[in-house]
Amino acid sequence: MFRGARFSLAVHRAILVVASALVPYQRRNEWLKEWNAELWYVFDDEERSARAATPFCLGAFRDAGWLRRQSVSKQLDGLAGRQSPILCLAVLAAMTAISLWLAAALPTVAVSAWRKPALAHLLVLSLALLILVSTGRAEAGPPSVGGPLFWPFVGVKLGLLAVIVFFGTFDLGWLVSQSGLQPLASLVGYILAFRWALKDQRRRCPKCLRLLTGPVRIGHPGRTLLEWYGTEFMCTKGHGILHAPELARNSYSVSRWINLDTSWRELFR
Amino acid sequence: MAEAKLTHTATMILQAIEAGYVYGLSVMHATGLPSGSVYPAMRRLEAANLIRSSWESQRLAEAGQRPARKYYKLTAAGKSKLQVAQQRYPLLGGLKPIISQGD
Repeated sequence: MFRGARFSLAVHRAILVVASALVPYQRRNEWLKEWNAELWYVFDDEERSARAATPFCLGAFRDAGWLRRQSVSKQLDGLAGRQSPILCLAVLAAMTAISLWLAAALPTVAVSAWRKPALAHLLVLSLALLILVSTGRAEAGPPSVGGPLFWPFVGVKLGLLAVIVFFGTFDLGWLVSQSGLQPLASLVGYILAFRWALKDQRRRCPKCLRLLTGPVRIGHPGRTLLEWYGTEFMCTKGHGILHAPELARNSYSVSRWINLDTSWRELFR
Repeated sequence: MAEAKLTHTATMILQAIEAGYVYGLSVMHATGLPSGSVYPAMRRLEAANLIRSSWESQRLAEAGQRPARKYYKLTAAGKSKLQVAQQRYPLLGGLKPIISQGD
């Protein structure tokens, strides 16, 4: 190694240690071992090491950040009821309870104020649903193949979200004004909440209501004349496969559910 | 089920690994890509089971007075994906003999 390399190596190893703080704990030791080993070889090449070591180490932050995002993404998939329908409803119920408690606890909005805008809220809610229907975002998935809990699950989700948005305007509206009700905020809140609920429903198995997994891109965006371009999802219980098109076409503009019979169950054990 | 598409960068990395550049640093030198692109891409490829990582023998590394390195190899799925991707990116297929000459 060149003269002064030991000090430079120590400095760059310190950079890697800082970057390693982003790496999930379980993978940190191996990650540091890999990067430190490669750094040694960077310094072993005297011709390149002087100008290459720092950019090399700075790239470690991006690698560490990617590992952290993957770890967080996996944790979020399991949290907040993203897979199980029961946990999804439990999280929404908890958010409803928090919203109700905050609305009652905040001193700036009187309880009597809740009754006054009820009709106005119904109007805003209807308007939000009308906007969703007219923009083509009101599709909840393939109800024709849904199980007996498909529509009740959709109904409970939408009901809980409506309550969250209703009391959320009181929770947050007092920050802006004393009236507690923000019509525009309610409209936006209902549209976003219902849009999320229907999008979430489209990504669930219509039979067991668990989130579909294993997205695989099919086709090519430049070849849609005779071929299909979209994403395929599957139910982990083996109930079926969902084909979601990327492009709206006359013949195939909505998602298509393909039922798998019991002969496929062995693959999903 | 259909196959997921490989990006241009991922194809370059697979091609470099197939040509014998099995270490992260050597893939960087062969492709000209920075470490911030190569290493996350190799993690994604490994997660997709297109490449497989292993550690060198610690005993051999210590005998050579150097640290053991992690090296990568293509899986069977990676080889077939690479062949399909090289048809999609014909310029990369044309670069293959140049990379094989190594440095």
